[in-house]
Amino acid sequence: MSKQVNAKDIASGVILLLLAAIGIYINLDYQLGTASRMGPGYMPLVVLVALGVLGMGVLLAGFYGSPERLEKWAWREVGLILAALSIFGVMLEDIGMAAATVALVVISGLADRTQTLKGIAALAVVLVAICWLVFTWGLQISVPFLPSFLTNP
Amino acid sequence: MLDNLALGLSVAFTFQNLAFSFVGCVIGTAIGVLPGVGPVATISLLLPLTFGLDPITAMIMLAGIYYGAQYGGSTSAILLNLPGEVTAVVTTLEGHKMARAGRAGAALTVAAIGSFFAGTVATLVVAGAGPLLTSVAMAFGPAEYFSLILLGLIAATVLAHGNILKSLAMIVLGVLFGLVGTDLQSGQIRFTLGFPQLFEGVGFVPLAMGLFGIAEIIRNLECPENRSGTVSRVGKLWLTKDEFSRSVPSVLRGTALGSLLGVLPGGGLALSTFASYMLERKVSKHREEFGSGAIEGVAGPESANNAASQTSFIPMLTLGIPANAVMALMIGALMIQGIQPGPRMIDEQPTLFWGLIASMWIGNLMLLVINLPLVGVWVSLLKVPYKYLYPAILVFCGIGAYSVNNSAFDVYQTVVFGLIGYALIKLEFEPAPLLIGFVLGPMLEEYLKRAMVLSRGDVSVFIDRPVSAVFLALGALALAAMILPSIRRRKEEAIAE
Repeated sequence: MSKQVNAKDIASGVILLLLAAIGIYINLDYQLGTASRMGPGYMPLVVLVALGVLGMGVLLAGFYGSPERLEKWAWREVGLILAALSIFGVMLEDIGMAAATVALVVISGLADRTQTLKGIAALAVVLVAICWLVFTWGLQISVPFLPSFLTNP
Repeated sequence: MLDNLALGLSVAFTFQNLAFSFVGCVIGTAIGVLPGVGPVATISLLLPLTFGLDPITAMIMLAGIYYGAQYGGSTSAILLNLPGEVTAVVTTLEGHKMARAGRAGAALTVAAIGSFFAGTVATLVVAGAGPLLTSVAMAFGPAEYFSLILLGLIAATVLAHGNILKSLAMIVLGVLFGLVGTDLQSGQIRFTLGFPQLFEGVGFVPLAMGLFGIAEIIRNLECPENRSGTVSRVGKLWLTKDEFSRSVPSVLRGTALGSLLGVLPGGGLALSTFASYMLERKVSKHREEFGSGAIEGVAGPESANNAASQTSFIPMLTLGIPANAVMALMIGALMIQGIQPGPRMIDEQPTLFWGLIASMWIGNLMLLVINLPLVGVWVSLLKVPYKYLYPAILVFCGIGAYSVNNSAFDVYQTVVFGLIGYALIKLEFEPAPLLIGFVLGPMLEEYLKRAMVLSRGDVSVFIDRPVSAVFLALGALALAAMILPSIRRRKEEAIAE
């Protein structure tokens, strides 16, 4: 039988150590300067070393802490929500707020299995209306509402 | 002080500021009522909307959201047994039991009136202590500031749950994110990974929105049980004579406790509610009722909570140091408006300082009106299913992130921080210290550099200057107090094995 360890802490420690190592590698390009005249690389180095030390501490604590497994990730929800927001960003400038909002609602709607087609359609309509009212008409932000090929033929 | 309060009232009573205070309170209450939508997420969500406003109007609205959320949180805690946020956890203990016994109305009333009283007293505390602390802080040099910020960062971990090493790591990571971008003195571009959009640093709004808003949505979708339940009936709002006389001393004690603890950096808010609950249970003449709906257990913590949420403004307004994640957001909002919070603010921006304080009291008065007679409206809000809520939040996140710089890159940053935020939840890291580190990181570097230039590179300056030494000693003490018990516990566990 292998010894029970806190997998969450071990993974955390490894990630922190990795980040510190990558950071220190990038930081090699920046001048350190002296303590009285600190260069742009001085403070980051101090911070990165601290991060490495803490990462080591978390890693070690993981071997002695109460046993715990890594949690499963809800990949479906993560993927759909982040994809919805990314696509919203891609569409916003060129295709406009209305279409981007509809795309976001449809994609993110897939993340909750209790959604119905009717519910999503209604939600999309209501949200597009609210967005027009709040952002286009109310705050007058400089985001096109409709695709540019419709407004400038 | 009276002159200053008069100035503040004259600022706060302009139509525009009253209107935005009201809007803030209404939004805040709505957010607080809705389970699964936290105040930090909401404020970061609404931050872009305030950029077009005057600084004072923006702050008044954000402050309204903040304490509105405290009021609203108690409503869902009492009626639904779901705390809208951490500070309302204690309220579920007695408040929901009262609701089950048909006294939900009384619990809501005592929570609202206690909060109002506490808010009034705490506002006066802020008005009195603010200028006092400011005059002390004016004498601080870079060395004192460096040590103070360090103390603030350490204190931010004190009350974070769980592993202290991990909380410290979050602070350090936050500081690191704060260093991304152009170094002002040398012009050196740091850690931008080749993205020119990062030359001005990591976006504050995308970071806060991603870590809190987006990660929260994914989390809620993953665990549906966090956001549903049956709503209790409200019943009569009036307190009986007995309930009233039992509540008065609890409200007074809660107010005192909350006003004191709220000033502490790092989550005095949650601490004050727990401390008040413990105190009430100790001193109550009706100890046997605790656990089955004692009104003292609602009156005390609710007052403490609201008092603390007001006094937590003190370190932010006078020193520029955030006591919690919401205050970090406030500092971010001020800096985007071009105002550096700190001891000079009270002289340079007297209308901002006193107007905000006056608006706190007005906001509390509004909340009393918004909450009690209109409780039915909020109850119906509890019935909005989350599946309609989260796409709406997501749309607002997207437009909000975009509109800060009119840049789709900020939307992608939000996506990245959403992923990071979810990973942090899965690995049991607290995101709040990261946000505080992010806000304070650039200041920490700035003061370190200045202090070292003045001392010609001699590190002992931080210990030779007494005030700075005291701050560092306090920080070391806080660290030791946190680390020692966990080591001892571990040793005992090891021996027990």
